[in-house]
Amino acid sequence: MSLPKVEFKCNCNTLRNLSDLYCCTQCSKLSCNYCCETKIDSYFCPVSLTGLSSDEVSSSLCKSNKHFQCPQCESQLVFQATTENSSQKLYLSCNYCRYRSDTAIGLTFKSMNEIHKEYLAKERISHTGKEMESLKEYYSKISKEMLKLREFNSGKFHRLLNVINSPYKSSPRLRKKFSTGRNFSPMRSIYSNRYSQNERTKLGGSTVGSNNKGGGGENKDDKFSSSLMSSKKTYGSVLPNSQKMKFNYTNLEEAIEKRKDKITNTIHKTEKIQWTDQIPKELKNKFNVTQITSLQQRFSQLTTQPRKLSELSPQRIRLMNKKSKQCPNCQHTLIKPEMNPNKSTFKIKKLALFVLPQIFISKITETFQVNKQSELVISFKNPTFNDMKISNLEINTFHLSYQDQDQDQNENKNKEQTTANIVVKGTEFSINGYDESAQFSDITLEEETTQKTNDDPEFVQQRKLNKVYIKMLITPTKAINLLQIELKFKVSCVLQSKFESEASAIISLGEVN
Amino acid sequence: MNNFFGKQIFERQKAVVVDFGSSFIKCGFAGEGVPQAFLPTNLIDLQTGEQLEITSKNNTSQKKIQVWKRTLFKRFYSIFFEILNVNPKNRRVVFCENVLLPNFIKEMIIEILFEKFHVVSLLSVPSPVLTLVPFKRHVGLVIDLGHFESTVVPVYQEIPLYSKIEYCSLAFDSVVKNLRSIVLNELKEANKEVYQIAEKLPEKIWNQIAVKTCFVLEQNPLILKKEKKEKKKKEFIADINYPCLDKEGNDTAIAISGKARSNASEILFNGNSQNDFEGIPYRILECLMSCNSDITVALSQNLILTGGTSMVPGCRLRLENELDWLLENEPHFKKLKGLQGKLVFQKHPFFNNYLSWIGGSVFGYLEIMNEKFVTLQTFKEMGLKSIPNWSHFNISKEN
Repeated sequence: MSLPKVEFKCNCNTLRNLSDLYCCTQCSKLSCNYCCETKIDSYFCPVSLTGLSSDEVSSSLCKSNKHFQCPQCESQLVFQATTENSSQKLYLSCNYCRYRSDTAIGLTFKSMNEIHKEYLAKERISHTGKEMESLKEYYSKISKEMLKLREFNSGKFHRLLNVINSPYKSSPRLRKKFSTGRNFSPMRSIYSNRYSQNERTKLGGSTVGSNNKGGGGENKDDKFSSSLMSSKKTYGSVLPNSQKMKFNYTNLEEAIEKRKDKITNTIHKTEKIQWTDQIPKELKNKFNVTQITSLQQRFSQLTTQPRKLSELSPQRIRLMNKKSKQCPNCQHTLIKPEMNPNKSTFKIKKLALFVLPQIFISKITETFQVNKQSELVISFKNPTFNDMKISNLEINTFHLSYQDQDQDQNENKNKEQTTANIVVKGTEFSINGYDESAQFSDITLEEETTQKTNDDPEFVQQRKLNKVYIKMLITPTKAINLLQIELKFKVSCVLQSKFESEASAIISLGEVN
Repeated sequence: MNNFFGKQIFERQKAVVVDFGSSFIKCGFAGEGVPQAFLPTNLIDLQTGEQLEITSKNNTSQKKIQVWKRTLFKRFYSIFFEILNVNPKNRRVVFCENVLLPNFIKEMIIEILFEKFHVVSLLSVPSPVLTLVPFKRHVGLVIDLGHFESTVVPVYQEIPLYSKIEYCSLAFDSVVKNLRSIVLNELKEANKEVYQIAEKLPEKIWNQIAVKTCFVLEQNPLILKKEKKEKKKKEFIADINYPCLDKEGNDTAIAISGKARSNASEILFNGNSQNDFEGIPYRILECLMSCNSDITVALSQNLILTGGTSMVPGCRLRLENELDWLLENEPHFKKLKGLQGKLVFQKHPFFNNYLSWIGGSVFGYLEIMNEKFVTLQTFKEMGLKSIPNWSHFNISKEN
């Protein structure tokens, strides 16, 4: 039967191994990976192990400029030289899967500097792309217009309503048609110019109820639509280009009938889109599956996503970084690595392993039975060089399991029932520090240590170097099944050692089946 | 960036755009034309070994919340620190959310981003709204074919109409299972040794086989049978050998017949006998029918296909043909008969994979969208558990 392990409780109320925790010396609180704050310290290239600044990283899109990875197997590519026709050319080759860039794509370089000019420049253009630039320009234009309109309106919406409704006070039908509630929408009000007729047709919305001369053609007003002057013109009149249409207030019914035809035309006119994709005939014939890219290979080249292996090109290797961690309470650094990417040591290392005693369950004399007393021995190990004092030792059982941590604590207090009676015959003891020279001494350790200290043998069973063994007597009172007895107990105590001047409370939990 | 007050030393940093799909996470910076990386969403909890899925089928239970928090935290940690090389403390985040995402997942993501990573501000937009951005449109019917489920969402004036959403669980997952069952049935009779090997292959490899070999036929073979329009000369579709290893280590191959390659994706159009009796084209027309008659015309001219499954060769052509056939022959859709021949699928210069990510990238780039970003202060002042919906537009100060 393997002995169960002891876990420590972190600041965020989760249970973790002692090796996963960090201990802050200033505020003496534990934190784990989940609750401490991480920050990026420095960037470096994993192949050449050179440091980089954050500006270089963002300008090169988080990838190194000089090193490439194989498109088939994602291992590093190496430059090699060939001599063709008395001129030396460089090509990329993979040592793992024998990929060569000159036979696969025909990619060769004259010198190392050439890579930047041709290959990377092309890649950067295709990364953002012309289509994306045009999208951005389009939307930023619209947003500028809307900002100007907003300044002009200065947020007084009611003024608009009065101006709009005044010419149509006589005809309620038109007021309904052209009231502002019609095309109102949250986004459109922010970045679309609802009075500019050209924008409305472009935006693909319904063109019902607008003065369209047959579906989205360009108007002369287009040039002036972005200037403030034109917005002033359209602001005063509801229907855009109303001056051109020469809307007569007297012959309303005739005018509506005329416009009806134009409305119906716009609905049924569909733009004929020519799609050129059809199933290529190669798919239906036999082909070699090994020559087709898998999803993962396609996603390394998102701009083209080729289907064939022969169209893949080498990609740049991703950069890496070094992180430092901070205590969530007092914002002191817990872990700080060295800036030099060649070294993997740390400047500041505040692990809980170096500060807190390690707790193990070392002996269980008999199997547990209900209403029968049995022994349990716990050992405390001191990692520091100085003596450690432990006081206010309490060992209690409680009913909490891993999964019930989310429930309210009040519920648990009511349900808490002791599953066993634990007797510990002492509350204070001290542990010796780690002594390197003791390894080489001839005297047996047990004799030396038990003679010097006055320990109650029922409390402190043994002492060894920097370990202390403590006895517990347990009589379980309740059982889950006929076969199983579950015990969970927690240990709380107060630590004092020379490094820490303040007290720290630890709660640890062990499971015994 | 253009600054209104002339040259400024401080440049506004690019926002981070994250799109959580059911099988791939797309992440990158705003203003760029392509995401930095496609990561597989393997939300596997390291402590318990459970695999979690981001779909609409999750049940809330308190025990699972801890598990979700741990896995989501690890995912975001790897996105920020390992792939994007970015400190989340100074960045704004644009989050493209799935329309049918359960609320508790959204709340957890917001909690993690604000409290663990201390993000400056957050904007969460439903992904159908973002897919309209590359088309420069405000109205559209977004057909999203994903990995575990597919949805049809009508969007009018940038608000998704939640009551008219159509949903079905026919997606790439069901195509892979269909392929597997067809191939195994054929192998049972033909070659028993290879059958044993093929039975034990994990799901990942069946995914790969489906990606590399499957495609969609132009016409529905069941419909052709009914109308007796089958051609006398059947089209020849070749078998393909997928290489694998024997028990002893020798090279063998699994023969994937032409029938399996072309019929695997029929499940998307004909439906399942278990859950979804009708295929995807039926769902599209149902959605059009349920919408108001003012909107249907505009929607029918702006059909938008997104999602990875729609990139299977031949998918769009087949959808057009099926929709035309349904409008002609199905008596259920009498109302929509006038739309026959007028359904238009819109074109775009990007790939269907990351359309909603591009919308997020544009939104993160625009300065006018700054008002819509929610900072931690406003989040706490409002006292809500989660950010209000996209259609709840009374947050802005001017109104």
